[in-house]
Amino acid sequence: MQPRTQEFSKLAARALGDTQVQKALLGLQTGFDQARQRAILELTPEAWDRLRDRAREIRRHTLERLDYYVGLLADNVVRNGGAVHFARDAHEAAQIVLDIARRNGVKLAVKGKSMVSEEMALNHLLAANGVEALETDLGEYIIQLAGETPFHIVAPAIHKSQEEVAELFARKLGTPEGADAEALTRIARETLRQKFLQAGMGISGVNFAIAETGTVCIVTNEGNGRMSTSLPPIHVALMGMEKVTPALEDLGVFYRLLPRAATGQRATSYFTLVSGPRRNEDEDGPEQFHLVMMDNGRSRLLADPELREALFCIRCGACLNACPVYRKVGGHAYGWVYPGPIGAVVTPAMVGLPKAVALPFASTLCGACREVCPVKINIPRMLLKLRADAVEGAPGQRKASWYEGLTFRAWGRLMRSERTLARARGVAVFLQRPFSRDGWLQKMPLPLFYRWTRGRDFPTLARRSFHELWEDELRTSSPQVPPLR
Amino acid sequence: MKREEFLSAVRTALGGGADAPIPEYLPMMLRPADQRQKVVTIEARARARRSQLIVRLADMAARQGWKAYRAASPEDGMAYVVALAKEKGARSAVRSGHEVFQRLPLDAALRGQGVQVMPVALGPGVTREQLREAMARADLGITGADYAIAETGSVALLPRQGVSRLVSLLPPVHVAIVEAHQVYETLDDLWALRRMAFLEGNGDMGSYLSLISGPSRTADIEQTLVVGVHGPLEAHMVIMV
Repeated sequence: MQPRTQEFSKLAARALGDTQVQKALLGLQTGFDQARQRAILELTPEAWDRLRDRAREIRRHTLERLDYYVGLLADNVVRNGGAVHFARDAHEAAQIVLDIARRNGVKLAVKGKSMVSEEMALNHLLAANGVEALETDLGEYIIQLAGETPFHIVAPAIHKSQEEVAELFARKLGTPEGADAEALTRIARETLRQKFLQAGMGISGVNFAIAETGTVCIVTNEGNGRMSTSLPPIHVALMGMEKVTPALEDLGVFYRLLPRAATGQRATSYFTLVSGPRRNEDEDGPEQFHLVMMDNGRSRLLADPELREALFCIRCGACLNACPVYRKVGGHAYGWVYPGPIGAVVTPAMVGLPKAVALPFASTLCGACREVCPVKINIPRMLLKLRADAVEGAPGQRKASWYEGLTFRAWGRLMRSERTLARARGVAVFLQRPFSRDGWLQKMPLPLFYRWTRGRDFPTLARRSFHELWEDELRTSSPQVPPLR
Repeated sequence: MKREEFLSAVRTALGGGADAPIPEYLPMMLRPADQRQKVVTIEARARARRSQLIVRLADMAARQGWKAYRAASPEDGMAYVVALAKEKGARSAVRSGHEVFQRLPLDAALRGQGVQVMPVALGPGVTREQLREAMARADLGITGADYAIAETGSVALLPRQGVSRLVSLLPPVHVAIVEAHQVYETLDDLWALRRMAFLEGNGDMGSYLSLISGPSRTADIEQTLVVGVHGPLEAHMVIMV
């Protein structure tokens, strides 16, 4: 996927003007976010909090010795009869998958949902080399037919209306127009069923990987994950290296957190544990199992003690649903694979901070993301750190413009002296006259000011300041009022 | 990229050397004897609470979207499945080779209703392709269970002879027959039991585990819940009390 992270403002403005997108975003609050809250109440908030603390402990421990656990996982996958591949970046990872496909003469691959494969832009590389890669998660399938990118980590096509999907299916698959969600789902079932049975390769993501047993775990609801890992003769699992966890019993924490945080479910329809290819005595299953472990910027996060926490993420999407910025601009504005608050932290590590500099600033720092996070990731703190890096970081990464620096120096001087402030106020009250209307500034000049009023009105400075009014009050009212100084 | 190169990049990021000691992590440090003790406790707890657990399992299964049925007797359980086959107008069923079907003459009962029953078994004249064909065409997929988990209303299935993971996946209706002794309380119990199997199996706990908690579902279009996507449209859990 080509980053469009530099176009944040433009893409955000587009989303803000799109009524269908705004409607869908509103639905995320009443849908996913409320479902999450109900699921936590059912479990009890105390138990939920204990699970979150335990998850943090496990994640911290694992990452501190990630080298050991990644090595152990690899050893045990091999012991189970699988093959392990290591990829420094997304390009290398995609090439590995293509090589496996080529070696085995694969023409059609069915894919379960995988955000890592989005990092790899895998479908494009495979298609360019004569391997059809078909998305089978309903949301991803819709996105693929539409030629778009996922809008949300958990619900990739949530920005599309039923009518839009019906129209898309009619155009691409020749199905009747005006179909409802249920009919559309059945169409996808029928269409993809044949593909599952024909495919030479199944590709899946990985939600958790157990180091001790060499097992990859896949969380799904639709059954496409099971299909992709059961029917084709080759299963390729793709994972970011941070997805490893030491022991099977860690699932007691993570498989309780993920479904609740993501969709408000106490359990998804399917939770599939795969430990290598089929054994000789098995009745079915893939003959080959490949695990591709990818770094792609993750070691950069790992190396920075202030950003390492970003790798605690279990990709539930709860921070997206809670974020006041994501709730308005949606997933496409962020311009890359991972949107929302967590996207604003991990994207700079993956595409480079200079390219993604707008993202850490696309936040109100309200802390809602941290509050809903099942691993209690302190996202606001990391956003502040990235902002600092962006403004004060290495030369060439400088974000602040000369006039912004100048303005804030002047502002600082102004605020330090009451007399200067009062005088400046007087000047400003005079200067604002031509721009004010009924007590509001609707359009201000100079690049520094006009952005303030591009999307909202600004109240005019009052003719008399609070200090002046207070002085009057002191002079006229009873002596019990304490003096200002 | 070579494994050693990859791991050394991770080590560099962590600021450590290759000679760091093996980290200590409690759940991994339990020796077989300790894990056995844990499992014994779990088994005893499940036995002591069995009847409550069965009630809870049926309740949670229903909430997860299963049609849950507590069968008073083996005959009652079979009657449920036969009635279901009739209601669905089923002409064919595939059945996995779980032990429970040695005690339960379900095949005969279904055949008596004109339903063609195919057990999952390779043999003379039955190839893997033919089996898959049959599973893709069948109206009913009938399995036993390896574990049932009350906490989440789930059934866990493992690879065994005569068991295909496709029986619970390809047909539009899945029926899982759960026996009382298979019911455990929590997911933690399941993971502890599987770790025991891992230790006892010399580091092999089988190629897969499918934890099934209801029919397949999606909410990918406008968050409208639709039951029945790629997996079964209906899932029935018959609990033999």
